[in-house]
Amino acid sequence: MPGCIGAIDCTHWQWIKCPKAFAGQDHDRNGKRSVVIESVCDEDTNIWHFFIGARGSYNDKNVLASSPLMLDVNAGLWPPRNLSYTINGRTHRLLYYTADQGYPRYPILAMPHPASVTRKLFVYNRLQEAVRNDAERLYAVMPSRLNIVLRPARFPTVERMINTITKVAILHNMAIECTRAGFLAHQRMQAAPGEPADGKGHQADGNASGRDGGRVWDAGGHGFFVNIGPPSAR
Amino acid sequence: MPAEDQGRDPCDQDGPESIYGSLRYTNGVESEPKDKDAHFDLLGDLSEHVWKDRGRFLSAYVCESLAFRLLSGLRVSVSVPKGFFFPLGRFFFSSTNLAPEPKRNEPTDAGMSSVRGLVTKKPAEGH
Repeated sequence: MPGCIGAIDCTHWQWIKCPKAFAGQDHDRNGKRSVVIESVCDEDTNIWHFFIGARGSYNDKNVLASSPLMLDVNAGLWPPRNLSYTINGRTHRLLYYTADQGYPRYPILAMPHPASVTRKLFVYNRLQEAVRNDAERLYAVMPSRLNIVLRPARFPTVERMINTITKVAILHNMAIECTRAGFLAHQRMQAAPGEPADGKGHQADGNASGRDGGRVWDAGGHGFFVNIGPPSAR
Repeated sequence: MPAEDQGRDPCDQDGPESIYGSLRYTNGVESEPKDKDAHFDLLGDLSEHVWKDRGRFLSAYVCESLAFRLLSGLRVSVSVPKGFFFPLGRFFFSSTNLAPEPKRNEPTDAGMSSVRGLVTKKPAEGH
């Protein structure tokens, strides 16, 4: 999908020691007290944006509205407007994230079509679901790698939860970099067509990267609470 | 200030490029990422883009489709309760929502072999 800069999704982290005063705000749909984590990741599950601290009662739309990511979008700082891509013979300027149905219909979010009445839309929804799955995969990979996220949080304050999950996200990105031996999507993007991206025998594919040829990475990590893009991109 | 701009509201800029920090710029950058029509334009273009190269994009999911066909076949021999596979099968095989494309310039069937498993004919009425 040309112009895609990652997959965005939210998850809940249960908070056992939630004060009773916050019970109403942190009460999620499963009846537990939790805090919402919003993240943007790429196909390697490398985290580019991480936001934790929204109340458990928030849904995806509320979290996005309160997210620092949206503050930058509203201010015109993100996504970068100096990049363009062409789909179906039409040039677009706004890069986009893939998201699920819970998000608002913004052009920076490529969501599944609400009524897939034609084969084209059906096939698009199927592929979009596959690309969107990267964000879901992150919430499986990260807890399995760092077990503290798998368990409910036992911290007395949200600040300590933020502190902990920040470290977890940094460690997760370090693990991704080690797994890929420093070979990340943005390096594939920067390599010229036909040239090895990192001198390790990987072949870059010109204007494309990753699975389906279209991820565009320009600026470095877009983190607010956590600015954890790869060191070479900062 | 140039003579032609005398007495003009500095926020009212008619030029092709709005000045950074001006009211017009601020309105533009706020409304551009929230334009619902632009969202559906993007979806339309993406669906066209995916449709043109569907053979390559969806080749990875053919195996998944075949696996579900196999499971659907097992339904007869193992005689699992009726409707056991229905939710999954409906997701992958049903075409109740898939009307045929009305356009005349239908792409050739060259790339459809890999998608065929995902799209089947509408089941007969009464089943």
